Amino acid sequence: MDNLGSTTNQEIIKDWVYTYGNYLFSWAYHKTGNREVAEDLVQEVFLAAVKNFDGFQEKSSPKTWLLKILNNKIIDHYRKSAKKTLHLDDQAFQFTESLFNANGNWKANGLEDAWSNETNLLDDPAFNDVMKVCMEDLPPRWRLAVISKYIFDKETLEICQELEISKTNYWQVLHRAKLLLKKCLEINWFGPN
Amino acid sequence: MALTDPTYMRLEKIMNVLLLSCKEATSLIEKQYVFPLTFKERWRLYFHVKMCVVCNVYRHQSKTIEKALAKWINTEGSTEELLTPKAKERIIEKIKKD
Repeated sequence: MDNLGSTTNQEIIKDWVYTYGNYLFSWAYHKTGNREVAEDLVQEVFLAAVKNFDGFQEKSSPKTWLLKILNNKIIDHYRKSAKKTLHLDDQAFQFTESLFNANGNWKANGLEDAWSNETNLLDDPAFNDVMKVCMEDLPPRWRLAVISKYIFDKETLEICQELEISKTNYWQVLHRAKLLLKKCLEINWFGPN
Repeated sequence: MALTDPTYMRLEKIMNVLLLSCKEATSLIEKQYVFPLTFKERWRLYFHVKMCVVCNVYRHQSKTIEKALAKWINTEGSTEELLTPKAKERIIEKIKKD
């Protein structure tokens, strides 16, 4: 009886590979920027789905359920690469420091006005492409902090616990990440071509 | 007066004690998104932004980036980025084995 149950579960999830595979892959690819990583993550999602099929409740759609698993896998992926790339944090930190003078005030860059023409910015696919590149440029640990905030809409305290950082450290990381994104956008979007 | 002029730098330092440096001000602008500011932080930021054009602009930039981030997170990716048939077969093989 047990055997039969797991066979039908497998059949259902095989169908899901065809129905939701492309959707999950493009989601993962967009978040990781790497085909191989995205394929691996999607594979892990379906394997986890077979294992935890009992946890799937009919009240949520398969798509929502699978996406939730995938988002957890994406965070895990970032967490692993964040541990390996701590030195990138330092480099990026130094870079954001260089935006300010010795007193901690802005070094003017003449691009302050460029941003004012931003009304339709977010509707421009080209701008969103640049944004994607800039996200991929963040050091993994900073990206993890940013993504945790938006992807799960989690309580701040929960995120801090998961990232193993203090509350103060958390918003300081967000601050530095924001400075780096601003600079990246200025260079690649607002800057003189 | 040049921005690197010693007199200017000294003046800046005095201003910073009263009303934050730009580095501190921008960090409070970001803090606001996750934590409430204390009363003292609030008024120092308020007056800093009133007087500092670049930080005032930064506040708008920061909001724009917030929106762009939310959009980035909720983007599904292009429909051209497909899971190859080969990868699908491989996943199904794996499911059978497990």
